[in-house]
Amino acid sequence: MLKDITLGQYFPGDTLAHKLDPRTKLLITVLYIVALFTAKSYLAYGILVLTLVIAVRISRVSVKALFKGLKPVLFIIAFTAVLNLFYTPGKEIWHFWIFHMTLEGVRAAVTMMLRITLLIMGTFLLTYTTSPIRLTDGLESLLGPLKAIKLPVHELAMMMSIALRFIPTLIEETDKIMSAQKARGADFETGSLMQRAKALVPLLVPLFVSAFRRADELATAMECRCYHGGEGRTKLNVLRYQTCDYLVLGYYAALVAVVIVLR
Amino acid sequence: MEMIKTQDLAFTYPGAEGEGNTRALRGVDVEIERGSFVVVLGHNGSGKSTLAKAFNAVLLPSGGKVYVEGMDTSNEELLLEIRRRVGMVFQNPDNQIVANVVEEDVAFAPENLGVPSEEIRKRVDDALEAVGMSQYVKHAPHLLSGGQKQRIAIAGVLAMEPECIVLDEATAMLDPVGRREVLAAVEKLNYEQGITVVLITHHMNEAEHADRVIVMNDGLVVMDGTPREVFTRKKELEDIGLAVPDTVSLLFSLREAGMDVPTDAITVKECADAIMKNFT
Amino acid sequence: MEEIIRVENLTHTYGAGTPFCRSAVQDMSLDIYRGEFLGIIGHTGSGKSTLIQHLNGLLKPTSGRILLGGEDIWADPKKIRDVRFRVGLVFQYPEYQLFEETVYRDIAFGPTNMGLSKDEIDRRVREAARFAGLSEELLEKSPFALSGGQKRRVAIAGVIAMEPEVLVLDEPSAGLDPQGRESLLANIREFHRERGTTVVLVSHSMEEIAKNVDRIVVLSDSHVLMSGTPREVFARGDELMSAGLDVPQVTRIAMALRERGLAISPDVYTVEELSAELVALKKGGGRKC
Repeated sequence: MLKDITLGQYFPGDTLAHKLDPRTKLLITVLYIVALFTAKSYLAYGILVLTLVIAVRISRVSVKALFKGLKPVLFIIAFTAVLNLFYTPGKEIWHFWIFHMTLEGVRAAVTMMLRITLLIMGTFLLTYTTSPIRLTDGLESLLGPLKAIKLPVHELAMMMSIALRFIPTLIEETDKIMSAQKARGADFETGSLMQRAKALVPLLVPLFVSAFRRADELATAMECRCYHGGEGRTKLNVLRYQTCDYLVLGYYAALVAVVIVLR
Repeated sequence: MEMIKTQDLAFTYPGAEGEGNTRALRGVDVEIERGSFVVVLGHNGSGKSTLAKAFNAVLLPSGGKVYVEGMDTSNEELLLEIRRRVGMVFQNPDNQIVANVVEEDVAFAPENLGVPSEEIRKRVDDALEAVGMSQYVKHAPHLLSGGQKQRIAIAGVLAMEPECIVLDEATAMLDPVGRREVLAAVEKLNYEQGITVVLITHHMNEAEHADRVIVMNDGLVVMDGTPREVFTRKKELEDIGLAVPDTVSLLFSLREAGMDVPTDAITVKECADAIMKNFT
Repeated sequence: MEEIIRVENLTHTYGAGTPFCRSAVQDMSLDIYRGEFLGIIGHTGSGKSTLIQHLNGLLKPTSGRILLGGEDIWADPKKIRDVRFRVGLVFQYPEYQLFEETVYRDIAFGPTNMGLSKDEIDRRVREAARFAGLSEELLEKSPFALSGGQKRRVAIAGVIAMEPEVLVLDEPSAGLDPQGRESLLANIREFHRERGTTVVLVSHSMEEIAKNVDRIVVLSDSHVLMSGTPREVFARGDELMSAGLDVPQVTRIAMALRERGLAISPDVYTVEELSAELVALKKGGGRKC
């Protein structure tokens, strides 16, 4: 299950999606989400689904990987669907005991499921096609103006990019610690909720201790490579908008407009 | 001028509550010449790692001084320049990697130094080539082997265009293949580019090709000479917890049995040749 | 000698059905005899780590069987935890798994999981600490206040305390300096001698293996390449080197001498032996072959 957590995973490639400026990708993801939540008509949803499909095709990310990203939130999706199904007021079409299903409920449930699915897939598309450092570079650049109000933009971006970089490493370490404790008879699978929570101590303590040690060593290594905060830092890959960026941004802006109009 | 010079260097680690302080260095005077390949040997706790960290101001002296090309390491204003000139590679390959893509990690140092983009590009490519990892430029570093990760770390340091690279037990966590890769990489950098290399280790065989071996024990330098000079002091080395290579052990044993062999033929080839002289 | 563990045609494939599919172990068979001190050598990628995780049931075979005392360990998957108490596995850099408030409690983790009485646990903890070379006064300290070498001993004690029938150690001396390594291996040897527990030592270091084990199994490319006594294995130095493995430095010196025409027996692998042979040869007039 641990291996299913693909957050932070990046699939390198040479497609248009990879070449776009990360700021563009961040902005269009935001625009896409806005469109998702303002959409009302079936036509609008149709266009949104089509947009995602085209984006996936262009980026050549495997559909399997996208669905894998849904796995952890499957429960939330199902839960939300059920809630919407039975608790939306409207014209009743079926009932069982105290649960009343309405037509509006069905529509709301389907809409919610679609929204969450497209939302997650759209966001994962972003992280799959953009390396964490590029992502944080993009964020840092977009949030740049906020430095004026003393927001530590660079520090936040650095924190994010290091966190993302260490996710696979920490997952590997968790596996190792789990194996080592299992070798001494630790049981992470059976037992009541309380028992399983207690069983996590031999996993979490070493993990935390190790994380602090890593942070300390990494900080030293960074300082030895002359890190001294955001002042005066340049970049290997400078962010530059190109024509394709403007076109894509234009498309998504138009998308939002269309969706609003179609309400 | 020497690359690095220490004067009566002392360092004390503050102890935990209820325990005394640890005097890791008790008055060390060494000079590291530019362009040399120096190996610092010692058992764990001898102070060798502490010495390494004092070379680029990761640790500041509790007593005495450290000078990098004449610059005092305790001078805060010179800190960045000192660290640019004396780069360091650490023991744990994972905890030096900052980025998810090799080229971005190697670019970290020049980015910090405000080097212009095109120049960074060039440095990254040159550094990767110097350590033989050019084909991994867009690779994910955490998927590489230990030896490869350490070579990326070396490239990351090279991108600062340092004068000296200090490897603080950088081979300790590697398998024999990884160790060989890293040694070959730094030997090449020393030979071809004249970069001063200081290698901290407890593996005697890594000192075979060094210009100079410094042996530390209990916070002091106890031996300082060529590998040949140092390795023949078998008993002293064993007394401080180090092991001589089997070549030297063999030669000593043959000597004791009355054979006329030198005790400083430390490589397999030299040893075999020296022994053969007794049979012709 | 009877086998205590038999690995029968073991294959383990990671990521079957995905583009990342690879067989870390392929059709591997080997026996581990009761009471022996066995060494397993192999370069990274030879299948070493995968193999040892099968010995205590942490991994399940894709095909093949693991027999412990003659019985398939996966016969009843629900009882697989018991196997882990009988085959103790110490991972590389085990000091990173310490978590308890005191050394005593960390060593007691295994026996506690076995459901033993307080007295029994106490006896086992103290004895394990002794075997691992830890003094009594360290028992009440926090494991995090110890040195790296001491922490490692605590981790090893934690596995010994389960009193397993087989103790498997993956690179127990990794990262230790020569003195630390000698000391730890001496403790392990002593443990083997006193207890008679079967010990399996997995290592990269030829010298380490050569000096300690009764028998060696050499892995290469997910297969067993050869097995035998150290003498038998190191006599095939050329094969080992072609497989990308190291041989002890002494063996290499002997090979170099043979190349230069000296009649050195092919199975010499310690300094004492080589020295004795050379002295004898010299006395005999320096015979060349």
